[in-house]
Amino acid sequence: MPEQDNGLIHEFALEVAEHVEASERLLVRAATDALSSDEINLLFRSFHSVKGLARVVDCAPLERLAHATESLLSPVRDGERPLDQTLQDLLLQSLDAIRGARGALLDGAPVQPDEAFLASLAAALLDGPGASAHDAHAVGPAALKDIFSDGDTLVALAELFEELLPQIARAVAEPDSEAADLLDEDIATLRYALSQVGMPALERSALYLADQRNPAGFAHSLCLIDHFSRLIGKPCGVDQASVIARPWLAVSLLKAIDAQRMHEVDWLLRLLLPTSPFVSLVPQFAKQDCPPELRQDAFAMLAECVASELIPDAPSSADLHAMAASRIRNLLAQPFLTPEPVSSFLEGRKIDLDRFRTLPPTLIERLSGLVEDTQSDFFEIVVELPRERAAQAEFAAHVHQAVEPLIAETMLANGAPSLALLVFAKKSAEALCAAVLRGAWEAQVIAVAKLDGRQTHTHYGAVVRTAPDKIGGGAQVRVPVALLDSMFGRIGQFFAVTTRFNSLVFDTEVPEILREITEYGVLHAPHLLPMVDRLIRQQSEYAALETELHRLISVIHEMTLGLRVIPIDTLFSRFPRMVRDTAQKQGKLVRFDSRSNDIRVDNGMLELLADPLMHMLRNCVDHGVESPSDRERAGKARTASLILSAEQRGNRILLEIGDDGRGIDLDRVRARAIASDLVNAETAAGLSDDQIARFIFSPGFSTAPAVTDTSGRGVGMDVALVNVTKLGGKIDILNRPGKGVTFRIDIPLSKAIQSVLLASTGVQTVAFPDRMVIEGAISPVESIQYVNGQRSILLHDRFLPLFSVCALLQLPPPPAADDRELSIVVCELGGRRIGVEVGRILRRTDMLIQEMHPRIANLPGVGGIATVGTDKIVILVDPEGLFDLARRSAVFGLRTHEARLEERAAE
Amino acid sequence: MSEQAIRMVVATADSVFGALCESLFGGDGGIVSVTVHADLIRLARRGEPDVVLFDIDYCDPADVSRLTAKLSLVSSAVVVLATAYHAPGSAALGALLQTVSATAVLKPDGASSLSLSGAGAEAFRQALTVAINAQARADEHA
Repeated sequence: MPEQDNGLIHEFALEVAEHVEASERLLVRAATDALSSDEINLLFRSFHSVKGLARVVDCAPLERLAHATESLLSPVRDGERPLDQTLQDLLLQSLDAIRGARGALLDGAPVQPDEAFLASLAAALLDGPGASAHDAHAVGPAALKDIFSDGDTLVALAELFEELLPQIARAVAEPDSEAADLLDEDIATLRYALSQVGMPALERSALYLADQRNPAGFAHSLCLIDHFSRLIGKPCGVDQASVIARPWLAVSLLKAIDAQRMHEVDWLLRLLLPTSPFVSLVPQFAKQDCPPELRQDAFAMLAECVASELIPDAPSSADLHAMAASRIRNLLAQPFLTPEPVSSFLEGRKIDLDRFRTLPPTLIERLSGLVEDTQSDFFEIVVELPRERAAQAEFAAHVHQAVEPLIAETMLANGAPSLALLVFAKKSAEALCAAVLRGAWEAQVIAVAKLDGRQTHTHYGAVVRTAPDKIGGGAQVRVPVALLDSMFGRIGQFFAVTTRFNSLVFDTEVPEILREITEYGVLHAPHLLPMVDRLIRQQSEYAALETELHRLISVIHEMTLGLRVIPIDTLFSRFPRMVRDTAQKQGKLVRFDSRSNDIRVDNGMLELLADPLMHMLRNCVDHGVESPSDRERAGKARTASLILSAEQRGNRILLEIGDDGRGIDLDRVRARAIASDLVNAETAAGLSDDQIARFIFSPGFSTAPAVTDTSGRGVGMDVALVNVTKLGGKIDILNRPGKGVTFRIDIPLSKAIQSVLLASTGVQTVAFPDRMVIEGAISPVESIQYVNGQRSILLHDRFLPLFSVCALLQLPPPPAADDRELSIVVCELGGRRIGVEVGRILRRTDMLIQEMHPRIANLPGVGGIATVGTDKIVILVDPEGLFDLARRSAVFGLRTHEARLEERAAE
Repeated sequence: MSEQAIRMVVATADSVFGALCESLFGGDGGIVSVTVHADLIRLARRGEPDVVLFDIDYCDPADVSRLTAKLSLVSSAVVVLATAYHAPGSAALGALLQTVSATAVLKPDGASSLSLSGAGAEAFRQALTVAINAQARADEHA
């Protein structure tokens, strides 16, 4: 492979990864649910796209692999072969191979073709049932074979036509000729041949070739054979036959025009004058719903034109045809042309006029009623469609009622089928979105834009009309997390600058100074007044500027935070394949369903969650799910259900892994725990079911009788608990013996990005995680009271024990001040409340918590550090640690100072 | 042709239009199958439909001609072209009808035409019946 541009390889890798992931998802689902033809097509297109991408980066081995896989899928797409398990396995292996080739390309390593695997793909293609999948409704013996790709048969048929058609034409047009004797035999030969190749329509129409009373039927048959001739690029004798039968057919055509028999005119005209513009006009003007006067005129003009063509010695008709056709076209188009007020209205609203040159009359009527409306705007809304067709119809009805779109089109957006709507409404974009999403729809609005000519990528707007998105959405770039973190730090510096700017702009002394200068100017120096006025105006502009600056930086700050989080779906998408493979190895049937609910989490957190989820899912398949026969005996469906879901609750995430298997066998766990000396029999007897179940998290604990490649070593659940605890979370087990088990993981939304309340001690800035803060309170120093020796204040009719943050965290004491007020952060944990005294409460913000040095990490009460501005370090409070420190230093109840000292010594 | 019991294949790239046709014509005894264009011939051979509603929006005219030519050889179905953007008398529709023996109906509001779920349904049903009958008479007579 030649030297490649790095950027190109990365683009290639990104796109291939998207195709591989999408295909894998479909293939894993195919194990339990039959894929629709749309999904099979999507699968086929993915391999096709990978082939194209491989060609772009000049990777021939990958191109061969994708091509071979695509060929294997082709009979599936054509309905000739089912997507059975053998095929699913091969396709999944092919995806693995594509993934491997992608990795090699990214590493700059050569991609080697796997000849053995390519051979197995080729063998599978040859072994396929192919045309064996005959259908009960199939017509003819070759009904499901693709007759149009059977070149030899088609050429033989063409030769038969070429031989027989002139004879048949002579027999029909000249009944007294010798050919007439052979007519029945010739027709029978043709019909037999057509039935053998599976062309039933042509076989039926061949009958008309023998009927002298039906010239239109004769023309119809010859036209069909002419279609066939064009499709295969071989002469079929149609020209000869029509020349022989021309006089008979011409007279018939003139009679049919005279009688205005559209059906006869249509076929005779197609055969005799195939290039006449009337060929396309007859079906349009001869319809019932065409105005009678137009139909009358058109037939009269047609008669004139045809006569001039078919009657010998008639004057040339070329111009006559063109003029007549043009006139009829104009008359036909008249009711559909967008009238002037509507086109001006659309143009004024910057709408792409090309789409609106002609419109259905109902739409013209609707738009005509809108031209006076100056209050409403055009909006484009792109909304994701439900996958099921029946649901799509219901959703379409709902959308139609909700926003009454002028136009709706289906398109692909971010790889998902979506509906692009053009709406004219007085509402805001948000209100329109809400209307579209109202009800029980799990749809998602992908884009919404007011069409005012400023957009550059709208579907209906004037500026640019984009092609539908490719799979996986628009262009993407990969950015190292470190770079994002650095950018985040710079934004922190921005904040510091704006804070300084803010204090300059809103310096309370400046207005006073300006007022004094003004007063002086009025009395003693009037010539200074315009200058003072200018200063006042400038001051006011600075204030407006500062507000805007602060707003913009807040937006950038939020956006940067958003960049660091990624959809949890990227993690969930790793598991379907793993579940499928594990289940398949054990002969189990599992329907795996993951629901990510569009939750996004910090990238670092995602990596820590990967192992716990994998182990727990494996555990469910290994130990929880029964074999299909056992499930049947237990009165359950043969296919087990395994669900992984994520749900956001406030600033926490709830992950659930649940199966409908046998549940945890508590007796077995208890026995194993006793045998492993984790607990003695006496204690075990007194433990609750929940406590017994939690033994599965003990290191090295396993109830599996033997070690397999997926379980039995007692490592998985231990790792799960350790990692979840690292993330500040916990795992609960909901065990339903005989019915299944659910593991519930509760973790903070992001360990790395936290919403905090910033406070200053006067020396050090401290951040309190939002989840522990109840409120910030200012209280006079005099309000401090001592309850059993403990400093407290009375807040909301309740005594709140009070602690100094400096004392708890052993921070340097603040400089002495004669503040008469206390700033208190009221914190809560596990139902207990304390007041933490700080120097000053600053503001709420989101902070990026950085990796801590181990020494700092070991400090009690410290949960992390972050920077603000250039070098200011912020200490993040660890809620559990802080409350623990408070408990140790507290004087609660009737405990004496000595008792407290004893307790400390014991600890 | 009675519209009540027709077997119809809707060949469309617009899944919402397909779904709306399915619920509009499939409810009263008719059998409606929706497919993408690539599957049309296979489905027509299996299902022996009476009508093929061929959605030509965003479909290459050459593909329309090729597919309808193939279709006419293997199926006696009446072919009706459905379009949102090729009005009667337009050059694009003219070019198609020059090679394809079919009649055309206009969708009411864009390629997906959501009004088929409500106010636009009856008018579209009538227009389609007119088109089917016109074309059926031509084919029957032939």
